[in-house]
Amino acid sequence: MDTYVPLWVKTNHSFLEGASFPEELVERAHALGLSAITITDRDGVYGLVRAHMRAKDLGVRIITGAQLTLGIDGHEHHVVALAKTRRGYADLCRGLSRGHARCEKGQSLVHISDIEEARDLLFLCTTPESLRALRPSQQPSSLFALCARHLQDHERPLERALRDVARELETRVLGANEVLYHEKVRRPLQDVLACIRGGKVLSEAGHTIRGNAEHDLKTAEQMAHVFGDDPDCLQLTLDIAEQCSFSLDDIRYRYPEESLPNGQTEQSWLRELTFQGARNRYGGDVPSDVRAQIERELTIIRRLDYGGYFLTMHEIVQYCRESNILCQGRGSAANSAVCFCLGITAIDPVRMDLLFERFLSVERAEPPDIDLDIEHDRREEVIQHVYEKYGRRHAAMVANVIRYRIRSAVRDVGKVLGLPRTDLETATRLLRHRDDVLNPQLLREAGLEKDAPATHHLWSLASQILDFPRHLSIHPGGFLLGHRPVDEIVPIEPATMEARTVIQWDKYDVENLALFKVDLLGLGALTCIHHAFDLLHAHRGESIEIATVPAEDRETYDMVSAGDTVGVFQIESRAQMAMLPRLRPSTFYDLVIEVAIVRPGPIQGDMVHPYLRRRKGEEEIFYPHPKLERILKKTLGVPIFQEQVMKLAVEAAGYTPGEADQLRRDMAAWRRSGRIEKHRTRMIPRMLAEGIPEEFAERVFSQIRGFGEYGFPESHAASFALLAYVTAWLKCHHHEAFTCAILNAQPMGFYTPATLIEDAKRHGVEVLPIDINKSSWDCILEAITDAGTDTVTAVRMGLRYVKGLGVVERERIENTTAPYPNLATFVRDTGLNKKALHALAESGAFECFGLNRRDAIWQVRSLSRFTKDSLPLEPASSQISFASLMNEDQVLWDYRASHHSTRGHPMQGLRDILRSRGFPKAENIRACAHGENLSYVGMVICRQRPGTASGVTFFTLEDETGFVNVVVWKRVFDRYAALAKTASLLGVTGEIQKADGVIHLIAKALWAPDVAIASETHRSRDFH
Amino acid sequence: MRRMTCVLLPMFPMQILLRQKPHWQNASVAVVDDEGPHGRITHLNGLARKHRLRIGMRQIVARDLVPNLHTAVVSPDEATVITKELITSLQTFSPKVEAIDQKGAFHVDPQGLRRLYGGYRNWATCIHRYLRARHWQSSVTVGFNRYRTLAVAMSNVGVTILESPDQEREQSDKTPLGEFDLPGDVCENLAALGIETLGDFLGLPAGELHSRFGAEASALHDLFAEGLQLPIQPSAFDEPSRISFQVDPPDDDQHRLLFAIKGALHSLLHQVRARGEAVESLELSLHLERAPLHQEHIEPASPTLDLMTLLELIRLRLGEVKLEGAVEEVEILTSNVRARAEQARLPGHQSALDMGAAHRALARIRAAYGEKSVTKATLHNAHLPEASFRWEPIQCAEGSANTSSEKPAMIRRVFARPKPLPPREPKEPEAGPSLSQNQAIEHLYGPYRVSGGWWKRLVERDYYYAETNHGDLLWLFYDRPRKRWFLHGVLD
Repeated sequence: MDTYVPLWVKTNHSFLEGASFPEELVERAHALGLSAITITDRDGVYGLVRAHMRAKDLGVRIITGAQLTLGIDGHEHHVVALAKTRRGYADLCRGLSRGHARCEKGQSLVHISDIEEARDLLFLCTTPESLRALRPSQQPSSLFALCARHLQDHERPLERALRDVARELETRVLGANEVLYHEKVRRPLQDVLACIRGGKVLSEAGHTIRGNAEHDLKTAEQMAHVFGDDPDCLQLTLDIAEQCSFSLDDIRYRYPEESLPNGQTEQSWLRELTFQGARNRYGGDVPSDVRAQIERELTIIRRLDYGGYFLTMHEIVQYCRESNILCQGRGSAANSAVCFCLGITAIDPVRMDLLFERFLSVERAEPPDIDLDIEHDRREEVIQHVYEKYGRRHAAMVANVIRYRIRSAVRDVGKVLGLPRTDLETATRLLRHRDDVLNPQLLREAGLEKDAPATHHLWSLASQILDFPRHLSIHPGGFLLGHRPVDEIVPIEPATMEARTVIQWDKYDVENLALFKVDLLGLGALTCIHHAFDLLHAHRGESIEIATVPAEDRETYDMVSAGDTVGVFQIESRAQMAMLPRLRPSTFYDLVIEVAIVRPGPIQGDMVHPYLRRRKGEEEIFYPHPKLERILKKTLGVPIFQEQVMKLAVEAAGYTPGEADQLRRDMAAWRRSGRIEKHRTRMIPRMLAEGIPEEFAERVFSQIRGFGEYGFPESHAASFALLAYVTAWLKCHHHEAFTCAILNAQPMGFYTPATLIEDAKRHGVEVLPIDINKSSWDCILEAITDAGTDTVTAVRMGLRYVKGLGVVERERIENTTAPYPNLATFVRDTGLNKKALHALAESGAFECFGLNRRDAIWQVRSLSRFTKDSLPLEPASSQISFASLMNEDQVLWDYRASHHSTRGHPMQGLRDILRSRGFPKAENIRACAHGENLSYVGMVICRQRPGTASGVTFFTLEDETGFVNVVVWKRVFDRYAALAKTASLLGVTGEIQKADGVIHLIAKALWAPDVAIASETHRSRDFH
Repeated sequence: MRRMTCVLLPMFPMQILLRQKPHWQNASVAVVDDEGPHGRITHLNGLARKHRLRIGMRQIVARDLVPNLHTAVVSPDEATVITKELITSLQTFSPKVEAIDQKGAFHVDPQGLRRLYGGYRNWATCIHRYLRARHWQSSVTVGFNRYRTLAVAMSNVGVTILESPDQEREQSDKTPLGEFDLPGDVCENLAALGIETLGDFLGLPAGELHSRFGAEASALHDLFAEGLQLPIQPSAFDEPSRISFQVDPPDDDQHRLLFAIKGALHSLLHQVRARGEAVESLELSLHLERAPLHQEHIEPASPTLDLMTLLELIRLRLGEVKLEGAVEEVEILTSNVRARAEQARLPGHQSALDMGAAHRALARIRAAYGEKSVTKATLHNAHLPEASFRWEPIQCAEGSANTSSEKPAMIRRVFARPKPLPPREPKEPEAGPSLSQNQAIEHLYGPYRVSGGWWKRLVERDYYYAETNHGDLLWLFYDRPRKRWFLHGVLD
């Protein structure tokens, strides 16, 4: 029989205070035979869902509450509030939301007025002042004096005072300790957390840390001993627990009801909109198979009562359309014909033979997950629309809990232990490429003493703190919307970003409670496509949409197959470029496979080469089991997509739909939880029993692990492939519009603007320099006369590329009218400051006034004094004439002022000297034979070390004629590490490797050429 | 024509660091402006440069490139202390030495020293050698113009003797502008115009610089203007007042020693008074026959010139020490401050407490029992009782802020060191402590648990208040790791 219930328990989601995971506390309570445990995180319900989920598994009851920080007479007091009912829980969340709203991020201060209306809340007061302050607004039956006994001498007088006030106010007294960890062994970690929070080192921590280790979850006997003089105060905890009947399962979540037209129900309105959309999609006549699919989906949606969710997504998409914002659904939503017809997604699932059940099923009864990609520079408009439409209380963004990773753990714990910061920095540097496991050897490598107690503590505590929450951040685009205010479900806090609010749960919590979430994500490719369509409309009068881009265009596929894809969405990376000539996509579905195959999942599962061999007919298409033919037929017997792996688990390993669904969740969360390993022991023996070869079974499992967070489902790959196709088509047929659009959509993609410009120039696109009388803020298309006869369209670089110009400068320039007759007029009209004027002069924007850049700099630095003058007088000053720049210097200045040059490539200036030394250009390398040894000099534009490449680093070098891909093995990289990491101009000696039209230079040695290139011209994008 | 010399210690912070850590000589070393990961590199040694590290790089980036990079901060205070030492050293070569704002650069006046050393080159070489012998790398330039000599020193190493102002101008014009202490953006902006050397810079019209490149650029230009040369502002010699005398034959009789000290102190105080100063403290060094040097630090309650006060303090101190041998030489060194005249207080405005008398009394106690004999308990933020306060030496008495006449209900008198109580089987707290034979514990109140210090030495104590059969109230604890009871205090 129970003798007490712990009523004041803080998990490690009370950031930097609690020292045990919610699950650990629940498991410990279960092990101690306690039937219930309360979760009362500081100022919130952050750890509640995790505790709730674990408690459901173990049959432990969770009592819901929070430790409030109550402001009384200018002082803060801690009061534990417990929810008796659903209404009480709503009051608690609302009170906490108000408390957070008036404070800075991460803090809360609840006022008595915030909770005086609450009726189904119990308040446990730890101080006489809080008891007195709450008494006028609360019944005695809802108020309790909480006596805590952690065996500290200051507690006795406090308890005496508390009991006196309780007697006076006729409230009852209960006994409860503040639990911060499930076992005493976590006490050192709790001390460390407290020091991190307080910004102290342990040796000077003083009262920042607790005075003893009595904050563990105690057994009933221990508590009975501590409160031996007053057993009734423990008995009271049981009575209180009995009163608190609320559980998170009681949250009945309803998605916001859309404003429906008269006489329509949610379902009928969804049906009408869907068929209306279907008629538009299919040209008036909906094919029978599509009709049947829609009917089937609508039936499932009705049974699950998810109509409101689809209508909301439709409303958001409609808003985007009306506001001329390009958007497209991604992820599993692309499996739904309803989403396709509502315009949420752009892929026809019926034609693509995609499985609706991957998106929504009656068995799973989980809320659908629709991720909506939106033009990245207009996403904020959509977010603010959602806030505006649903209201701040009905819409809030989902949190992202920032957790300790290995480097932050070593840095923070080491600091608290007082270790030298320089040693810690060395240690964290060494940790960069390691797994998420702290190896004591590594700390020794960092120079920390092997047997020193501090090193041992660092290793032990940094390992323990891994995955502990540190603070709350904001999810990139996840929204929680509710029919009832969201702050009745979970407290809402202000986020760091202005005009954003965030709930206290992350996406996993939201999923676990089966709450609906809307993901609004920013995507640069959509911005680029939109800009390109607008340019084509403005300059050629062509109205194009994603849906009307000519399908299956041969020239586009030829370009893609040649690996000529700089700037093309999803297939522009070095790895994709190397794959394209091998896979040679010739249909849309090939592109879907291309997008999905160059991913860690298929690569780790060693699925890439078998697929390529089978595609080329070099290997027989073989199915490990007849059952698998249906699943793997589309991909020639090789599993490539995430859902294929799941179906494999069902068909080949006998997984039930529930197990398969668990596999999907574990795949998504394996990095955090490591839960995927249990599937290995379950899956492989079952596959072997089905007669599937062990080698195949092992490969499938490796792929599952690789899929983790990176695998693509087929529908998702199809959505991305569509955008890849559209951008490729634009690049192929309208390269100037595509270049202009992608330059205006920056930052996005894999390459720097300089590389995009060089690529455009190599494809014959004329790119014109920044000119204050011709350039706009954005890049524009400009008709120019070529060779006195033809008119061609060129790209004019925009002022946005001048380093140092921002929103203010843009506004000032756009408020004036070009062309300007002279520099003085421009300076006076715009009133730009000296720095901005200098930047423009340096970029060559004033050459239209007949001034070389140096003369312009000298002038603007003086003219900027007269920006406020109303009279158009040029100030008298001595004009010195400076030497004009040489051509190579012009290129360097361009790079320094605007990160690109339209006048030439930095390598052009070195070409003569490189040629005299016998170094080839990139275009010459394409003609080299396999196995040929050569040396090459180029500018480093990208360094990449994929996790799947066993330490190999891939360099992309560029010169004025194209790219050279260099493969650097680990031993070569280590030998020339400093050079490899820093060089902007790199010399490589190595051997040519040619296969399927793909050329790599395998580095044997790296060296620094003895020719100079300015650092301004170098901005490589490095990925590790 | 008047000559001027510049002594420059290039990369001064790096040189300071490498002198402090000579074992780093053969490693990659960087001076950073902050210990943290985002601290920026301000100076690099040659090896670090070879590894492609650059000034301005963040420490986090540099460590990524060179994992075994040694870094440290050289604080301005350290640089100031060493600069003072260097001034003192250079004052052995010329009475006029001035530290320039540029860290590690000094102007030294060579006037009148040419004949003494047999020419400027010899003189400059002596300075260079002197510094090299003390592990300083330096550049010594003898020229004509204050700042042009500095500019030449920046681009040269070793000793440079400039024969004419024209030669000085020619050489200094080649100095890269980046060597001067101009802000980075000003240097960059000037470089954009192709202005990269001092000569280029001085060729720009002076009047146009301020508006275009700011005050620093204009000020630098002005420094080199002909006819605006300030003479050297030499650092003052900072010598303490000192007197010493032989005791012959060596003597250990304190009365005779005091008598001898009185005479010496009298003339020392005369010197101090003549400088308008008063004695803040004095160091008394007694050179003993066949025994190590004996030193005493004596500090009066306030700076004084009163012979009898100081002599009395010396008498008190010497009365408490036993010398290990006869004194053969006495040396007295005083640390002085500017003498301050105080206005006499008006009658009726004097405090009831004569704090001056209190200070004098404390000074006498310190003189008699040592510098740390006067202390005050200060509360300290800690859980362990003995760590929750500290006895800290005080120099001055403070008037009590507590005007309340109420006495605390009980006073806990804490022992400086807990007293172990006799061990008692089975060594468990439940067994309770054992006291003396005729004393027994009637009630125990507690426990109050204090634990911590796991990162250094684990402490776990259960504290109790114990009431004995004699009515005494004791404060004791059970030490869990040591499994033993201790008496930590009594209450009365």
